[in-house]
Amino acid sequence: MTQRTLLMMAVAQSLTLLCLYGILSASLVSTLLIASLWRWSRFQSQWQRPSLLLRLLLAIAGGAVIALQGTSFTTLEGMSGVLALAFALKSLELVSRRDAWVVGFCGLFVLSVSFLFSQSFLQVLLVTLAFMSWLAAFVSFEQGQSGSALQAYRTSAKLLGMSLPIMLLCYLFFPRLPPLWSMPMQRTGVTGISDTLSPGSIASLAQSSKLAFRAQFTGMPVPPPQQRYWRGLVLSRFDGTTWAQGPAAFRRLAIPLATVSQGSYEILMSPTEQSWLFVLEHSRLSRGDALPVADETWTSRERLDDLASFSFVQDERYQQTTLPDWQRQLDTYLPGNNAANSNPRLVAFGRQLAERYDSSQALINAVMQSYRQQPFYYTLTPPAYDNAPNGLDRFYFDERQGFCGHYASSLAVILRAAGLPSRVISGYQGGEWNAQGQFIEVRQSSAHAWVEVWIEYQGWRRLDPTAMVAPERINQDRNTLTDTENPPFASHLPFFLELQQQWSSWEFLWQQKVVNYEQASATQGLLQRLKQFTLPSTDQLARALLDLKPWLPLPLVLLLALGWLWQRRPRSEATMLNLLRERLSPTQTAIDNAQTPEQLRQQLLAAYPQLRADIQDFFSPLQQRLYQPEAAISSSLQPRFRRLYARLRRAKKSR
Amino acid sequence: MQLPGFLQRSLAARLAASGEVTLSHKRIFLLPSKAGWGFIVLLLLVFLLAVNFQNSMAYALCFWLACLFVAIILRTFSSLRGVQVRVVACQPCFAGDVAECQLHLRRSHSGRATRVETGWNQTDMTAAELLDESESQVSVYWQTRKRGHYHPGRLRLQSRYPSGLITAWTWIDFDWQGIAYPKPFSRGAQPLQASSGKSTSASAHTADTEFSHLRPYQPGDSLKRIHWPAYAREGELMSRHFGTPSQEPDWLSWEQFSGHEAETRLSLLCAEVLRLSTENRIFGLRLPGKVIDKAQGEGHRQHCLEALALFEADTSSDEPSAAPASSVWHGNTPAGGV
Repeated sequence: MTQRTLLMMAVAQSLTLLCLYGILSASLVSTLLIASLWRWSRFQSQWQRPSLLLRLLLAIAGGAVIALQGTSFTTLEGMSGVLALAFALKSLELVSRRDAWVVGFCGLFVLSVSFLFSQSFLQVLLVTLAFMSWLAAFVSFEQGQSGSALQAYRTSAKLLGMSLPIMLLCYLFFPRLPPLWSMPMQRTGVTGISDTLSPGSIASLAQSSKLAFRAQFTGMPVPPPQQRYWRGLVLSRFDGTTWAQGPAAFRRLAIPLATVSQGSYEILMSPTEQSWLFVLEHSRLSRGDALPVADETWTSRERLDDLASFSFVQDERYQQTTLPDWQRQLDTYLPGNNAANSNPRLVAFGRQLAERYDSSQALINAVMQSYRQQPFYYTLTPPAYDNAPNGLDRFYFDERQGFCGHYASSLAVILRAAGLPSRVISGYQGGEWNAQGQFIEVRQSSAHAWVEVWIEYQGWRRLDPTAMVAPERINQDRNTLTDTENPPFASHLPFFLELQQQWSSWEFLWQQKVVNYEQASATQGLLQRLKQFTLPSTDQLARALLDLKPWLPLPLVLLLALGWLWQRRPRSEATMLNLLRERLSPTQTAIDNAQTPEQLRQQLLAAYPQLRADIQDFFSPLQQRLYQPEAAISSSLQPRFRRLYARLRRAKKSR
Repeated sequence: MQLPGFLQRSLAARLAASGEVTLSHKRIFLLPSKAGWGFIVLLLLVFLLAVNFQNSMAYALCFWLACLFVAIILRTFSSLRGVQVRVVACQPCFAGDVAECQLHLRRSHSGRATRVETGWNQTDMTAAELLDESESQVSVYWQTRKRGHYHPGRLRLQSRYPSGLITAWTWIDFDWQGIAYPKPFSRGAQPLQASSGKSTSASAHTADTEFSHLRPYQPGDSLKRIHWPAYAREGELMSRHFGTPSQEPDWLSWEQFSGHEAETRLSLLCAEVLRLSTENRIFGLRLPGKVIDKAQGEGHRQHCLEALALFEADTSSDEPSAAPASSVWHGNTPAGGV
């Protein structure tokens, strides 16, 4: 293997390991990169493979790194880590061509495994790049001594480009098979809302800018920021600190499905490893594989290991108007006075309020006003109440620092003490409106908790005490509170903000149209549309063109790539002379008739006297370049040659 | 590689013998290489991954790998199609030595960059790179056994360019032949070293100390022989010629070595021809049924050696015992250049 080949393999392997960045821990990826670069740093084909003992030690050390990070080997992360480790260490054994193939194939497999964790546009780009590098390395094996790396990359890009159209057809029409066997692997490290809520539990999410889901509205108005409450879980069971879902037996409650609707919205969920969905109030499923749960929440029928989309309509016809006794009991339950976390001061405060106010509306107003009037302070890093006994008491009466979990918990406790059924809802609030893509993007930092209270003959009503304390947390499009604590670079520059939105809208289209593509229904839809095909009006065409706007840079990029691939390579002087020689006498090879350029010029002049000017135009700079290279003229020979050659061909035909 | 008889016949019909061959689709065979089979296994693994995890992009990658494989089949095929192969020469050598056969490869200008390997079997091939250049010369080496005409066997041309996953190959049956001179033995029946370039000039210089005449410089003349004063005077390169052209001529004859077997006699005569011509002497050769008149020089020497090589030679004698040259010779010019 040549040095060039080794260098190209090093590039490919580094790119492949980079594809795992963000999937495996950064420290593991860096370790693997260093291990593989150890081999490549030598850049020589004569490589004494490290002794068996050393290789074993390295493998054990790598395994220990994976285990020490708390990844179990049975999870998908653990298995992928082991695969990546084997892939990186295999390069230490690289001696023969066969080893190189094994490393290359391992690399391609690692690339496909990386898709299990991320199918984002960026990931696909990175994988494509790594794929091309591997193919170029394979080409380089075959090039021998005289090839160049650039030629190898170009050849591999051409091959990939040639196979791309058929690949797209396969992707569109190849039927998707059901899984052959189940893969019972767990994933770790997926962040998201958990099924219980203790006052401090949302703080870890608030720092994460990971995408939770996107929502797109069709035929219905986009709710303003202060109305964007995405309900996920209804938490009715309270033990003094932690809120949990009600008893399982009560949870599944069938609700009739709505069939007619004006507009709908689509939720594209990022993988969460759980199954609940986040929907607006009073939503009914209109498309997707989901089940209704009590209290107008929904769960996906399958665990969300991959992207999944669901459509909902908003429909207030089936609102709950009566509260069963079991539910009233559950929603007014508080731990007794003897419990460790009975929060006696809050309970006493609630009872006091109940005595003072007759109507529940007045009581609610008074409690909500208390959050505004007392010096409450919104912070993601409050003093630690969670482990202290009666933490909510301390929060509400002493410290008064906290975030949504604390406000919602304390409000629900006060209301329950006052005899009003109430519960905590966890989900997301807000989301960023993406104008380019016309969708709302909700990140983990928007995780939120609020309260619903039962008002007789009216139903459940939403109360958000956090809005009293930090209205900007609720009313603004972006989560400015986390931003001021850790302002991203882009927020200062409108251009970058716009670019970020543009990218985000591409990403949404990518996830929605490409990754989440459902072959069977799409083929059906296509057939339907072909059957009902009518020529579009100019108005429709114009609108379709506007829809294409976000994709405008794509053809430009494609054109550049094609130009690079099929650009004319400059011919060497010898090649040009050979071509002319061939034109004169097609049967003879260059070795048969070795001529000087001068002899060739004479022969050409004799054969094609009418092209005298062109022949001179080409030969005089050529001879100058060949025999007086120090006085080489700046003008290129290439266009002159092309002109002469084209005319020669035509002259041949006309004779 | 020995093929079964029926395949040999079918190949002979399909790939008829000729002097120049343009590789067309009829002659080219295609199969995945070992790495290609590995690639297919990888493809299946990625497919299983895609199906079991229901992963869209893994599906896409799997389809891309499959389509790439098809594209590579076509591309590998086109890297052999349209290549013209021609025998330049089969160099003469001494029996038992390795003969160099030169091939000229050329791709049409519309043809793609390629790298063609040539050889007698799959394990042992020499590569010619036609990446940027359109023509290339490559030598294959044939192990001769006996004196007389030798006919190198069917030649394998293969290309795995560009990816190495697919092998495209063809067998070419050139109607080529070269000549193997008898293996030279000196009088004491000692095998004479086949004269390498260095020893030739050394012996020529010691034997021919006497200056004879000047003649125009020819490529190949030793630099030591150039007569520099003449160059300074006339501006033309002249080389000094040594030797004893006026010495009395020698006759080499079949009867000279009576008592030896015929082949040994030929070997001894061969050694004598070599000795006399390096000493630049005038000599003639008398064989039963053939007499070569006295003369000197390179042409005369070849003439004599050919006469010895073909003396009562069975024309097809070399075929069955012939074998491909061992890999030791690859990439080197054999020392026994004649």
